[in-house]
Amino acid sequence: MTEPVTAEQIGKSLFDFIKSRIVASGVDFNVDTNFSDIGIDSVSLVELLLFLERSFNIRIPDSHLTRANLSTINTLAGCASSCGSVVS
Amino acid sequence: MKKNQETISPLPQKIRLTGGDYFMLALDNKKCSTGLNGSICRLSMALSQPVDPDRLRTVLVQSAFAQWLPHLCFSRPVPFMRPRWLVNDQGQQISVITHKSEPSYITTGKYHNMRFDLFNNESGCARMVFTWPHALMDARGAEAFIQNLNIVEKEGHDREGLVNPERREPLTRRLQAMQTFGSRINQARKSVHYITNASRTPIAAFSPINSQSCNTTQSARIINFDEDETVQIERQCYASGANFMKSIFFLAASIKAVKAGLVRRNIKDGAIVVPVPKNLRLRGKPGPAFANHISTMTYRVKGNEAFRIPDIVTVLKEQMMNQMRAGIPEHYEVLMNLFRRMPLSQYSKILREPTKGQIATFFFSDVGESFKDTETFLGAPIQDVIHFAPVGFPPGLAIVFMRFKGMLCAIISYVLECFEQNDIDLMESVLRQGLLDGSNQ
Repeated sequence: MTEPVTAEQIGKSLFDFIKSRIVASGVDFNVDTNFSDIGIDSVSLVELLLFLERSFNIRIPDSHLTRANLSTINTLAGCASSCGSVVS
Repeated sequence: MKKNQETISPLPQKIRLTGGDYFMLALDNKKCSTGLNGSICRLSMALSQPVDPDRLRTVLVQSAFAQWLPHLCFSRPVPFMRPRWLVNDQGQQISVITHKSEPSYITTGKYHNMRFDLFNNESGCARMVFTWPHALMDARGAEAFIQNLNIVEKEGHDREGLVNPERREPLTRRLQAMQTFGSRINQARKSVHYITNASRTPIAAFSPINSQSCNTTQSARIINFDEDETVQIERQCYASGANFMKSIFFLAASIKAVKAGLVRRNIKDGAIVVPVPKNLRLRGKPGPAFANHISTMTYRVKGNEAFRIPDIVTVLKEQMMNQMRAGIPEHYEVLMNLFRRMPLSQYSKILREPTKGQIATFFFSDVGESFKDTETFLGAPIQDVIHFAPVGFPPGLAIVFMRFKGMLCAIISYVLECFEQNDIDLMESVLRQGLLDGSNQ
């Protein structure tokens, strides 16, 4: 039986994905940096949501796509972990 | 320690066009063939005090990038080779033209000339209008170019990273790439399949009112929203179901407004098709100023789905997620890169197929936050910024959204020959109401 993925694991994966695919090299950020401070816009947020789908089979429902949940890597990871709904 | 000019990477003597550049050049070619001056963009900046033209000319001379840009010449020495810009000693410098008052129009002049028009009125306020060909820079690039002029004035040289040449990969990687040429063709095919399906006829479109042909005199209607209204619009994004996807909400409101215009003109048949550019730059830093770093997503909304904003939002959200899930923007970028090898005349012809010249109902773009963290232009405080998209016929209509100092602005650019004032008044009214009360519209 596979263990559920933790928010910390999701957060680390998101961090790596953002660092390699979304933000320019040399941009300084951490898991608590506000997305808007590093230029992550709505299109980039969609890319993060699709990354969660592909990597963890997690699809976050619309009701959870609030400003608070989409503000930092930690909040997004926490939301994804608590949703944890499997994509069919 | 100040960075010496000599330590800044020199600008290349030759640089490949991106797929986006070549696409813009093909559109430009298409417009020139109808007697226009090409695909020309404008950025208008209101300033609270005039800019000294000599100060601007000095900065343009100091900027190696501003000196380099006008000397680029299109080159394809061998047929089907990827085209390049080559630096030569021809080409005019970027002009700085002063005006005592603000005219209602600016002629663009010959293709490839970039210019600054400075308007200083008697009250002490001023306007700067920067004009440039889309084949050289996209909107974000033009903003980066202008922001760089502030840096040049302060530090005496350009910032790094204004030009991002396509890197020549090592031989092993290139050999590997040849083995995956088939996969690139496959990606391009998926993109063609998607675009062909999304833009299949019938497409609802406006046509010239009084004549068969269009001289395409351009005009624009600017719709400003104050801070309170901008906050209200953000709330409507969430209430309408678009959530954090503001661009989707803006597009939905635009589609509803355009639908109202189509209904007024008794154009009932056809779906509303809108290509939307996607910014490919990496985030978090001012990216390259030079070249078009864009891909495209295409949206298609049936006529009977284009009346209520929440319904339109649902359709657009699904299409956006599906396109990004399927990698359509990446496939489209591969397609545009492959098209670079095609002769320009042939490429322009392909753009007219398969929809016989009707490529969209209207063009749309959300530029996002403009000139964030930039308070002045060469010392003059910036009051307002407007982007004017190039719009020819077809489709004759473009809607651009942007934000400056947190306040939203929508610009309806249109071809005069295709619209009466009542058409534009109606679209403006429906757009404004849709944005402010979207969930109930």
